Amino acid sequence: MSVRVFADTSALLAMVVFPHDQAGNPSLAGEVLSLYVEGKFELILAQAVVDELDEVLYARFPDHWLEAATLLRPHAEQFVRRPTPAEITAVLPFSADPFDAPIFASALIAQPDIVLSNDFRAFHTPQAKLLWQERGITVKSLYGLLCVFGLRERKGD
Amino acid sequence: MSAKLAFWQPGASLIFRRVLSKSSNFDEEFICGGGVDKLEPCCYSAAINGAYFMSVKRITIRVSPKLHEQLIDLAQASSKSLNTVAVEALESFAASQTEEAVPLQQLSYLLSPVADAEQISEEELLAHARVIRERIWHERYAERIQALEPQSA
Repeated sequence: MSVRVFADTSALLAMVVFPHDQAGNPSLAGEVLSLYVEGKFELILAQAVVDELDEVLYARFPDHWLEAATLLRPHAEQFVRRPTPAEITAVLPFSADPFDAPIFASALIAQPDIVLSNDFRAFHTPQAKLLWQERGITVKSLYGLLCVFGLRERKGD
Repeated sequence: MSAKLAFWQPGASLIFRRVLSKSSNFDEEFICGGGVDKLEPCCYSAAINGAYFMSVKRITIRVSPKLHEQLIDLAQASSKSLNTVAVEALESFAASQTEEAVPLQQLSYLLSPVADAEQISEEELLAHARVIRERIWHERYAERIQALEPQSA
């Protein structure tokens, strides 16, 4: 069974907009995108994350937003439902910023193996890690996910 | 080149045989087993009466010695044949490609060149995403959460 990875908006944007660096070499996000394309893990997207992605694309890629939305729309049924207010309230103590709570709650609904986020101020804080740990979920950065697949060495090892 | 392969269910009482076709088509191969109700009876030989088969294709793939050894180790560890391990890996890969995977690669082909052309930085885009997250919070959730908090307090 493949690893189930819940992607935060930061990781998702990095994967689809910045898959390579300025020199044209694959970025960390690009390497993670390649792993996804190769079917090395199952990607879980939440409607709350797609809502944010949609708005970012509408604002910053207006000429391509419609085409992007058309690509995503057929997969809407796969997206994790938006959390209820009660589900969001339950995770508020674990989020440094209340704005992140809907995404945290979406991750708990999805029950992934890994939460993938490069937003260290929100997803990798001690209290956030406590939440993930309680639910048997690990949080990884893009680099950390590549370590899981043996493509990078853990720093400090 | 065509081949035929029988399927059987784990735990079913069966006699498993591998029988090369006696027919004029020597490219055909039959691997037969009994004990499965849903598959069609194998009828090419009375000697394997009650066995079942379905059609498969034979392919030849070339792999590095290292991968070959890894596959053999995997097969031994899981008490499966090398063929079964290879088939399962291919099935898994094919499923991952044909499932309704979200087309992130296509999205990337669409958006990445635009970001390059317009010199949009990752930091800038992620900061924008944070602003949007905050706005969505206020528009969609804040009031409902505040309404809920006195009840939960």
